[in-house]
Amino acid sequence: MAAAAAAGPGSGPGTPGSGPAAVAAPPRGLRAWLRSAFRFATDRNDFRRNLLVNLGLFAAGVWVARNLTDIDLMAPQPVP
Amino acid sequence: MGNAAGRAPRRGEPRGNPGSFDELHRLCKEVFPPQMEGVKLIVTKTLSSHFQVTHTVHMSTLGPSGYRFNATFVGDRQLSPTEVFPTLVGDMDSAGSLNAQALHLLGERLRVKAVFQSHQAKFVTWQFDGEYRGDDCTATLTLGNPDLLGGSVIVVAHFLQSVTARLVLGGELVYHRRPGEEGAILTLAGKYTAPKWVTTLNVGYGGAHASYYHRANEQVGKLPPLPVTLALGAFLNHWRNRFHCGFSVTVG
Repeated sequence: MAAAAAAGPGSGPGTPGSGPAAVAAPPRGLRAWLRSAFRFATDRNDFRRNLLVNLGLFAAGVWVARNLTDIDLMAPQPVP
Repeated sequence: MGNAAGRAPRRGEPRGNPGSFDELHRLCKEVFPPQMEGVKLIVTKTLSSHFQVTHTVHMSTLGPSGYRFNATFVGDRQLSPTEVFPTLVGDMDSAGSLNAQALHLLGERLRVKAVFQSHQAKFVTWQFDGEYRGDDCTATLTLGNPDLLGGSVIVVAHFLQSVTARLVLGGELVYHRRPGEEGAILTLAGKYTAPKWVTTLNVGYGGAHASYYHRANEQVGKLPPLPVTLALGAFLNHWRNRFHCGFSVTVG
């Protein structure tokens, strides 16, 4: 896993001599992308990350509040 | 002019007073339950329609335990169930720290408030503010810890304007001054009120604060006030390994 991580950035599709590696690049690129996305999402010192994560959580909370009003089982039934 | 009623269906509605700047996020904050820790016993005694005293004994697991005595006097002028003028509140704990507030209504639109807080024998806060409530706007000026001899003060100015029946826009300016330094911070605020939801946003140099409140159903069948009330609460922060729980008994 560590060797693949070390080889990943150095053998992307843009580097010379990476013809045979181009077929395998998408999975390695995807893994590297996922890893960097995880690092971005958990880096609390990044202002852009904090803004995006907090806006996303706020939007999720608003969506739940607007769409899950039927979870109150003790609420009176609506008049048909 | 075309179909103005179709384009602006609420144009003729009265805008109404936008309320106080400090209460912009109140609806959302009221949904959150209070964090309880330790054991609290609260005994309230209403001595007359104007005067009430409260004894609070708090055995805390996080901070110091102690006893607090609170006395509240309310006058005759009642604008709403929660606004009575004049109001005098005094709160003292077993260490001798005082928290005192006086609120009064001058005329129909002007409210004044004075707050004093002391830590044992030393005053840490003395604050005076005046609030003007117009038909569709509210303006507030607050002086925090004015010290003429030391040359320091904190001045806070708020202004809220009801732009439409649903939209309120406003701002806050905080100016602080000490010998050798001074600074000011501006915050803009907006609030949109729909029939079933309210959203509020404060944006300033120090950051942003947004809140959304949605009423899912009507609150029917509220309990009448009971002579004895038991409240239980717990708080858990798994990430930081923090847990505390508590209960309180309120009499009167």
